Amino acid sequence: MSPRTLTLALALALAGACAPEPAAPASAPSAPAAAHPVGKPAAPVELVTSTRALGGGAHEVIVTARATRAVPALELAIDGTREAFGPQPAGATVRLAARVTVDDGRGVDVVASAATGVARHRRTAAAVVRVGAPAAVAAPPPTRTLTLPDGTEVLEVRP
Amino acid sequence: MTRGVALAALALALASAVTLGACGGASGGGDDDDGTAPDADPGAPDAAPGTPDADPGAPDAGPVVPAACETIGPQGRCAGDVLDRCDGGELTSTDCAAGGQTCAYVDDATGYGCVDAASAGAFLARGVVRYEDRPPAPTGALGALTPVPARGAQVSIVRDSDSMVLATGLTSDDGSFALRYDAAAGAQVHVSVASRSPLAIRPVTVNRTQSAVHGFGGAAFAAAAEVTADLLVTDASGTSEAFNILDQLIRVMDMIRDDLGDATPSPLVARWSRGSNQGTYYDGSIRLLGASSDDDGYDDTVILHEAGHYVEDTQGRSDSPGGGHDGSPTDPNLAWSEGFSTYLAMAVNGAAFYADSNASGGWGYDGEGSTESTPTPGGAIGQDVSEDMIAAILWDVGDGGAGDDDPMTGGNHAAALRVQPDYLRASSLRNVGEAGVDLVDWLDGWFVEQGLASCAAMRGVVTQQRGFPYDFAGPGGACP
Repeated sequence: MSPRTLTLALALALAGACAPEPAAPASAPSAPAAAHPVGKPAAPVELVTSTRALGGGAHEVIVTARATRAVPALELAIDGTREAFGPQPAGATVRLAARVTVDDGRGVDVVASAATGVARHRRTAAAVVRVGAPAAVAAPPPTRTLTLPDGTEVLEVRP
Repeated sequence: MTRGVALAALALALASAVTLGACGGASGGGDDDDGTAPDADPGAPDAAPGTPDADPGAPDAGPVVPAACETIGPQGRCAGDVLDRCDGGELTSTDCAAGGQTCAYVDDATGYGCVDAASAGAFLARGVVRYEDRPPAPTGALGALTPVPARGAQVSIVRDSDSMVLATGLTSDDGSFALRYDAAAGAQVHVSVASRSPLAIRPVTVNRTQSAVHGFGGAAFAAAAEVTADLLVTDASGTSEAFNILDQLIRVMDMIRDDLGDATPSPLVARWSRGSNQGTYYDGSIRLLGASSDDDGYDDTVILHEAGHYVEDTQGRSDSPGGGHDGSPTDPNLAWSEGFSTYLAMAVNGAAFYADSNASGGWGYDGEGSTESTPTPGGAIGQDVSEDMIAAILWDVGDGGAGDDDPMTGGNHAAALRVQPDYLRASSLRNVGEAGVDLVDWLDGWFVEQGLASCAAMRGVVTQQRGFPYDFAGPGGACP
């Protein structure tokens, strides 16, 4: 079976698309914040995950993390497997692989994560990787569209 | 709007110029409407904006709001046939039945009122709308599903046969509703709630990633003179998070009204859908992740942080270049925008922590005591700084009362937040340090707005505790 690879670029992908622009002159009225998408606070790390089928229901899950700035600690985890890599300079890349076995015809979601910093400065980023059979697609809940008196459309879920 | 309501039938109590938006009790203060109990460790629960400050000497503490008003909201409430209103921060109760009337929703301009049953609709449906919340812990972990009131949400009576909306109104802040409607007797109808508030003082819409609003419908019942039909928006339906987002953004709207003095804030749209992986950011509207790896629908402080960008955008000023940020020293304009937004989240939440759940559990930090990166000693006033330091300074300036652990014991969050509209929005900023708005400009604005009485305490917070080299010589005057 050829390797099946899933790649997820997380966390800072959006942020990376936003090139800084020159600040406005000190006395100029502000450009609206809307001009520059502003993402949420994040961990200073980028995650890439991949999987590789090993046969016999075994899969290798690999998570690679790149520190986007110098960090005092970097730890990777794949489900119960953890490894601490200590301080990392900006741009450093570390990697963790773990073996996951699933029954024939079954699949499982595996959480891969990176944690930077220590104690109260710890931040994490996570990815979910599917190994084995694809997840069954749950039937979407029944919906219907309502139109409120002002014309607003509501997609109503009604279990 | 409930069809067929005769406005002329309103009770005298409402005839006296009911003004929506005057109910201070709807403040974002009630920091625990959702059942969360922000931990004291990462920041003792503090007086949130709009709530009375614990420090009697604090300036601009705002009106004292009757506790009962916190569960009523600007739209009023029907408790049976008793109409509760909190206009002007005063709780008034009117027995509609005493005047031969009944209590029900009138329209969005009036809210709940006393109406003539004959003209307001033959049938009455009342109940309480709740949604399942997962209260966030300061660590980033989410708690167990907990039903909480869906405050200020648009609720409707819908005819099953053709999905016709027969009546619509808003839930009170305790989630209750009372809608009168007309239908054929025995016709099957149901209660439906939408993640939206059309009120001018709470203009919030939470859409799916496309344009439709989230809705949740309850079980059918036969139209009858009076039916009680409660509604619980479940997590399993994939919509409860939309109602949590609505609730958080309503808290922000209430803060804007009560603390920033704007009763007609700009409409705010948020987009979230379970499974959405299009990022969490603000770009004129708010987009929130709903991915299995990172779902922000229950992450109150993440939602409030993005709302902080909306506040600086519409009420104040931002010169942020945008981009990624992680707490390390960065461009002062970016650090200011992010630090302010985190501070706003903490102030509305009434607790000094920021928390973000994800598939590995999440992370959080103490917004008051956890500054990873401090300014370079002796560095320039325009040096790169940490957003965390800015949030910590603002929190220290804003918090107060017994147990305060910083020199600014007389501050309050409303005063700290008001520097945005009162100074930053329109003032010419001093050309010191980084061009564009940053912490220096907020500090300048603080002293312009508050005078120099707090110089010593502010020095304690800004330079002694946090190490930021502010020059204390802004347009408000030079501190001694």
